[in-house]
Amino acid sequence: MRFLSAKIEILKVRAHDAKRTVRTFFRNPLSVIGLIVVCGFFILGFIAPYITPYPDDVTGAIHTKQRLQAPSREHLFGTDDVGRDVYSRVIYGTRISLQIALVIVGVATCIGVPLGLMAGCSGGVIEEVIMRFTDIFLAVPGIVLAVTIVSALGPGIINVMVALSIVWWPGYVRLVRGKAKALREEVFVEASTAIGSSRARIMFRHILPNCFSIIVVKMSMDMGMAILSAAGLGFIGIGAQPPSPEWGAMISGGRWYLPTWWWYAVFPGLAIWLTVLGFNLLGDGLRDVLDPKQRGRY
Amino acid sequence: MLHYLTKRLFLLIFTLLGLSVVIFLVSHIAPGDPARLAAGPFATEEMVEHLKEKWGLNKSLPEQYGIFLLQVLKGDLGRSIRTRRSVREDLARFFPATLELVLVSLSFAVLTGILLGVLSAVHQNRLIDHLSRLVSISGLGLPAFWLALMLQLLFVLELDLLPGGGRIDMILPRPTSITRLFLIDSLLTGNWVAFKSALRHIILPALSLSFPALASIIRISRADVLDTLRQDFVTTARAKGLVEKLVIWKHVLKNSLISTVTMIGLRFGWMLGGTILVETVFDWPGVGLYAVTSATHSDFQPIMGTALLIGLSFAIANLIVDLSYSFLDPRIGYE
Repeated sequence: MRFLSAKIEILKVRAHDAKRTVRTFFRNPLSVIGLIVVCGFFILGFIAPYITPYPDDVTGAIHTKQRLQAPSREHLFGTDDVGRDVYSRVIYGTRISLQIALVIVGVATCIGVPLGLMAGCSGGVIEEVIMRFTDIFLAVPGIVLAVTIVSALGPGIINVMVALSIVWWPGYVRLVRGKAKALREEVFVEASTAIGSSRARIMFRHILPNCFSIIVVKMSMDMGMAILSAAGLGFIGIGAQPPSPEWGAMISGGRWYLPTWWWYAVFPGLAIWLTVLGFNLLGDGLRDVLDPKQRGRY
Repeated sequence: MLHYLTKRLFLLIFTLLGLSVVIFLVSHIAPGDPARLAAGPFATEEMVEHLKEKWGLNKSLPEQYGIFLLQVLKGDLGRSIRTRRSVREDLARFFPATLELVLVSLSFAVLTGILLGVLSAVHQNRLIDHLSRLVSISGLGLPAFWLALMLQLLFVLELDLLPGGGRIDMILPRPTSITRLFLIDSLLTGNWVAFKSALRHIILPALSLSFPALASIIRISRADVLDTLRQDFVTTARAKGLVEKLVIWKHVLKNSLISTVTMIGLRFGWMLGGTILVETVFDWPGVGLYAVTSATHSDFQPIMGTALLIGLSFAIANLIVDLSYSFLDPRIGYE
């Protein structure tokens, strides 16, 4: 009975903490804007196939008679060089960009977090080996290594995801290893060690849950940066290939039609900017509530 | 200090060796064989066989890596099938342009970023603070290549104020080569026409490349200055009657620069990567454009060479940043 009431008390405290966290998050208007933008893009990504006014234009239909038409009621963002509706393609591009970002950040987290945890909790030779291996991937800017990998594998969305996932995980190793090392010195970890908990239990039951907040913040920030990097590779012609409605590839096609047919390159660019901004604002807001030491710093 | 430097140099060599292993493996995981990848899509069987012979591709993987490393150490980075020159020659030709672009961008981002960061912190929650925070927030999400296009659209195509591409006017002779950085060379030789032209050409690419860095430097320096302003020694300085400008620009700034300097080192690397996108828009003849053109022509050797060169430059920049810490904060020792 006493055990049950203690459990209820803990749950009450947690619920109170959660309420306070949510309240703090919603008190910052920029965080709320970030949340709205991100949710909006996720919803757009999910319902894109049902709301695109010209679904055929997404897969590469050609309407030469309608080429390069200015924004109008029929074509909100105008049409491109082969008469495809830019609005339909930008909306569908949301789906592609979010998919790319989710895969990259997901794979990077799955590789980086366990390695960081192992390095931070083990120390010694294991830590040294993991960190030196990680440093190799941090020795060159991610986009340069990604270009090298995509050039070897060949252009295409899948290869972009593979390349960016390969260059993205080291950031998580560094982050989690630093936090895990700090947590290893905490009293609750010492207590758990003293009562004979196994190393795996300490790692996954005590240290990992305390790393969640910084991982979530980094994932939110990285979603935007992954979209930006994939768009960059699409822009230089080694990412998504036409007629894929990927934003970077669309800007690459539209740049030759500036300034007269500006809408072709401007709207996909605005979509990238808005999405990345949304993820950054959300990440900032999450950091403020999950890492109170950083609150209001930026 | 010497011990620290030796240790850092050892780590630098180890990391670069690791990078060479990664790049070597990347060329081997590619579909098809590395010789065909390096020889390019139009190579004859004889050319591919010649490369296989040269690199010992019939030998074991570690032996092949040994041969690759030996060639890299000798400065032989292979040949470009597109330019028909050795990659080393090409990199020597294109790297100064990239270095000049990165240095100008970085200088602009650092000077403006720190200035706005400090002003923003000192005048917290006032108009200047809101404006610089707006720049920093919006700049973080702005795709550099798209910003480059928009700047080109505005300043080149609409207003016709600045040139849209290249390093210098086509009709002008190149400034006498000393450092191969056009701005510095034209200054050293007193060639003002070339200097003006080079400056006009670099403004837009440098602005595009520096914007994301500017955004993060504003954020970091603002946060650090805010922290430092709450320290006791600042109160003491003010209590002693020091002029506020002196308190801010001498005491507060110097004590706030550590994380900004770290950021500068990282940003140098990111800018080297960013040149891949920005140089493409402005037709800037640097290693970024060289790598992209090589990538779109399936010319793999120049890409490997570029990655190694950028890795080396990044490592050196980080070493310089690490060494500058003790100048900024004498409490930091090199153990």
